[in-house]
Amino acid sequence: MKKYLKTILIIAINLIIVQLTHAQISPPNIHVQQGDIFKYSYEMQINSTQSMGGNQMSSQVIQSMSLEFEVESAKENESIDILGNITNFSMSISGGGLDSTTAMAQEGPTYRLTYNDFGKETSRTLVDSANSEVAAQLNMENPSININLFLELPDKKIAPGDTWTEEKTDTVINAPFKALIIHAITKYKYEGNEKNNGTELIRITYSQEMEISGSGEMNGMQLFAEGEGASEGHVDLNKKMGILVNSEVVTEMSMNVAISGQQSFNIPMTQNIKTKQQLIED
Amino acid sequence: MLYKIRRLIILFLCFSISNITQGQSRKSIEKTITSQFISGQLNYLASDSMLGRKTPSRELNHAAEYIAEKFKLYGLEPIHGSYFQNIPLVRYKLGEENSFVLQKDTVSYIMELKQDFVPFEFTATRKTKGELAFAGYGITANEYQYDDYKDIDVTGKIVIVFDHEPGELDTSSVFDGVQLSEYGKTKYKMKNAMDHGAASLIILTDPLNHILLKPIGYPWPSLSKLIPNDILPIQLKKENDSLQIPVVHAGKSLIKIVFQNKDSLTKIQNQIDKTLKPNSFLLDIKAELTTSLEEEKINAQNVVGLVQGIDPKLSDEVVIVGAHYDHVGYKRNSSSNADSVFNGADDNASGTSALLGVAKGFSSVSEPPKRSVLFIAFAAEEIGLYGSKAYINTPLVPLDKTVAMLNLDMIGRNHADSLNLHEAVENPKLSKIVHMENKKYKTKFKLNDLGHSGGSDHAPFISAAIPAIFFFSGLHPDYHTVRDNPKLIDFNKAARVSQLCFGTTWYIANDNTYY
Repeated sequence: MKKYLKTILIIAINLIIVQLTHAQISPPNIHVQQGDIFKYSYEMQINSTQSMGGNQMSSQVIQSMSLEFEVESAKENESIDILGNITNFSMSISGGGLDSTTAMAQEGPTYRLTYNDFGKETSRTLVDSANSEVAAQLNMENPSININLFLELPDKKIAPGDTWTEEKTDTVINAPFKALIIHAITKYKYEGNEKNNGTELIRITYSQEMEISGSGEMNGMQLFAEGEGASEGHVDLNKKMGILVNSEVVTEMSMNVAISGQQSFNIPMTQNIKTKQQLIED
Repeated sequence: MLYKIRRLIILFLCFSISNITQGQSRKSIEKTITSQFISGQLNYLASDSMLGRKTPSRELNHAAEYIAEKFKLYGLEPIHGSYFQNIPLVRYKLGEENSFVLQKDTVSYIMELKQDFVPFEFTATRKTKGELAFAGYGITANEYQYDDYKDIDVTGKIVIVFDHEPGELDTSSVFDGVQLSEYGKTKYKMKNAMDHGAASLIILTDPLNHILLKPIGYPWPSLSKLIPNDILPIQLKKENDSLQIPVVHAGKSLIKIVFQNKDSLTKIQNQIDKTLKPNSFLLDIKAELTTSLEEEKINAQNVVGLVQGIDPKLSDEVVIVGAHYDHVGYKRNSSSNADSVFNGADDNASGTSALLGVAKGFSSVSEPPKRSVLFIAFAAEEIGLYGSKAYINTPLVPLDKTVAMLNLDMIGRNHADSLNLHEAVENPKLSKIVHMENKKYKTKFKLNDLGHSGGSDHAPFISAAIPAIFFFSGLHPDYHTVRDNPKLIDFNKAARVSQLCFGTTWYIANDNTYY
């Protein structure tokens, strides 16, 4: 009996280890191949309220777009190059005296997005300009288009229930601001695995707090920006390929933009931004 | 027969003298208000040494003194012994005394400024003490049968309400859905709380639709590491605090103390949103909330001068001629070679020079008009029409004795013969006078009768139901740039506008009609 018990225990422990190993993600976690094509839909809804002279004004912007990506090169232990562009775009604005809808069925310029093995985007460069001035506006360097193909994961194995924290300070050049300093603390959690249409997905949830500050100059007037923000969301990744399948994020920003000079303003504003990115074809 | 002929001759002579007097006035006006005169005034007011005449500045004060000297030179009388009318401008900064303490059971919670609460910019300077009450969104909207104050008495209480409105992101909500309706605005909630007797108001970020629960309120420079004090808006001093109560923004620390946690508050909010039925209640928590603002006085003044009328019945009535003499200053941190001064030659050294021309014209006529004429050079137009608003608040001549106002702003550019008359559509009688006077000149303007324009100093007079005409030659690409300088001004045009304004003023000042 004891002998059988020992065997059963060993088998049970092995099963557990297999289970855990199966659930764990090991770096590098991206396995795409040259020629792979991914099509996404991306929606963003921004509700803003700003105050000037004690008067509050609100507005809403809804952007919808389709994007297409093709893996240009993906050799083992080398960076991954992916070509992508916006293929369809519409935007509606309401409030603040503006009510309009814009739609463009043209294709935007092509960009090369380069990633490392861990899913971190290391560069985004323009490859091909668009066919028209109008289409050129559909550029993926627009900071409001926060497209992600992967999620940068830690360089160690992670299992369901694991959490990790990332603290980063980025400096963004965003004219007319000389530099906007964004300090963010992001807390991630590997929630677990699920299956969707036969594809195994891993779900990562995260919450983020950030602080933004910056200054600049415009027409001899000094500009200042100061604010805070918070984000909550989740990302579903294709466990085999590491590609993003679905993400939904809510971000809230409270910013103050101040101008000092021949005219002086102080414009506090809040923004609630909901984004949804979905893989629609691979 | 001889008697009749003599009467006719006397009548003819009187008529001729009257005509000659008027004819002499008009001809002498063309010789008095010349393009050289206009260029002399304008070149001084718009010179680089005036550094753009920003409100407030030393250079603006120099311009004021210059205009006052001219008024005196042209025989205009001071009013109440002065050629200046002070404009009560202030900047409101966050004061020293801002505190918020909660007393729950036997425990005192001291809330920290910025971290736990932030006053709004329209808060009153006052200490308040009372029990807390929660009043949903703080909205009374009878047309939707929704009233957060319906079943609760908040007299003397410190009231907590949600920010925004029910169904904030729901497009089918009666409260405008995605757009913030008037009910969702903080100023409305303050007024509604006051109407229901609240001592003070706390706005709480609603957790159902928002994840950032830190208090925002107003971004006071004193609570910032980056923002300088001079971005605080300059405004007219509030007469008294009684139109406000202390209003602050609070966040997660208040939620924790008063409602235990975010989830229980979210439940309350969710229920209100789904049922559109209020859920207001008193809280067994006491609080002391104090907010304070400090005034920084800003120096600026209108320049005023009077031509006293002589008619025993009409002389206490006045026609006002005005122009703003301030502009927007200069660019800071500009390289030494770059042009950095906003000279404001057209905006509005042109109008101010024309104003001086009209004043000079009145000094050259043989006898004073029947009605009085008040000349006003306004300051602080560029930052919010504060000079003219301050005049309306504290008029030097009663408003019900003010028969008309003529405003000169940007009259020296664009086509030589084109001139816009804003408010002409709403004030046809005044417009008719301008057209009539225009016909008396050899080179006539093509006058464009236009409707209301709120963008200059006639606007507060229009709001006070005083008929007005706004003389304006139109916008141009140099507007509010460093390129608006004297060499681009059509001095001849500006002189003709000044002459036309003189003729119009003279007519109204000798008329006995009301417009």
